[in-house]
Amino acid sequence: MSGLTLAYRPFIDALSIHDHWYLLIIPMVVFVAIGYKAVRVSEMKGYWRNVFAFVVQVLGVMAVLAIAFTIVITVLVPMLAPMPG
Amino acid sequence: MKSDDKSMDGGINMVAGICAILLPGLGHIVSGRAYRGVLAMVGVLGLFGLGLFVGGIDAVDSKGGTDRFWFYGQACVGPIAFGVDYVHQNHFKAYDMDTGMIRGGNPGERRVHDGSRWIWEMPIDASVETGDANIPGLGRLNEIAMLSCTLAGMLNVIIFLDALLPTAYGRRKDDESPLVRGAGEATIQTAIEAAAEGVKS
Repeated sequence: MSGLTLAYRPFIDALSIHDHWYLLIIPMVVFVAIGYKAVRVSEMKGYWRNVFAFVVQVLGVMAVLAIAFTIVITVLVPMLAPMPG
Repeated sequence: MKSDDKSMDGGINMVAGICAILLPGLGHIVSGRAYRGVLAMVGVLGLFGLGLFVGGIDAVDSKGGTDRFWFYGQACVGPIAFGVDYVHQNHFKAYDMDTGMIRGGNPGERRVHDGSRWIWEMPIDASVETGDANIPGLGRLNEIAMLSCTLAGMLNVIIFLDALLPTAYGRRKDDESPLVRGAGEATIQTAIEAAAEGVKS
């Protein structure tokens, strides 16, 4: 048996989630928010609120950008430069 | 009052800085800001672990063509990044018999020790010590995995600076540790002395 067909080993082998790669932005933003806000908030009382706001802001802007670029590529570009045929 | 601890002169906490290099968040923990330190550790190691979980050990590669540029950022995580890279280089790579270059495995290949070094070849003798190649990350998943590990390094730079220079961004309301207080006093004292020197001259 080939060494590359053995069972998946976490942290050694790559995951095979090529169709859902974009969802990985969520845990990535959450970890960035946890680490960054740990050293940036003035008092820890409102820490988790700050983390939540950071995550929502980043994901919100990403979603808006995704919608905007989708409109540009699927609507505006074909309107401005229609492809023959 | 001037701090007796020379490491505090200028608001620099050397002990916390060294600890922050050894392990993300440890600098904050030893300077009495344990909650911040643990959360910083969760953030950095979470990002680094996410990268390894998604892309496998292939996400950290100091000798992998263009991947080595990513490693410059990943190295900022500290000894953990170097340890992972060491394991990758020494336990998941071997020499190509045709080119003589060290590389990761290809489908169908087994890692075999020929007596002097690890080489890639098809398994022919079951009694020879063998090791399996890791499944490398491909395409966007590999990019995201490397990005996640590199982000961990960049985040750790911020956390390291905050541990080394605890008063750089002003006092926090929970900075009650004697170490941080001492650093703050040293900074104020230094500023007063500098201002006094300026007035005299």
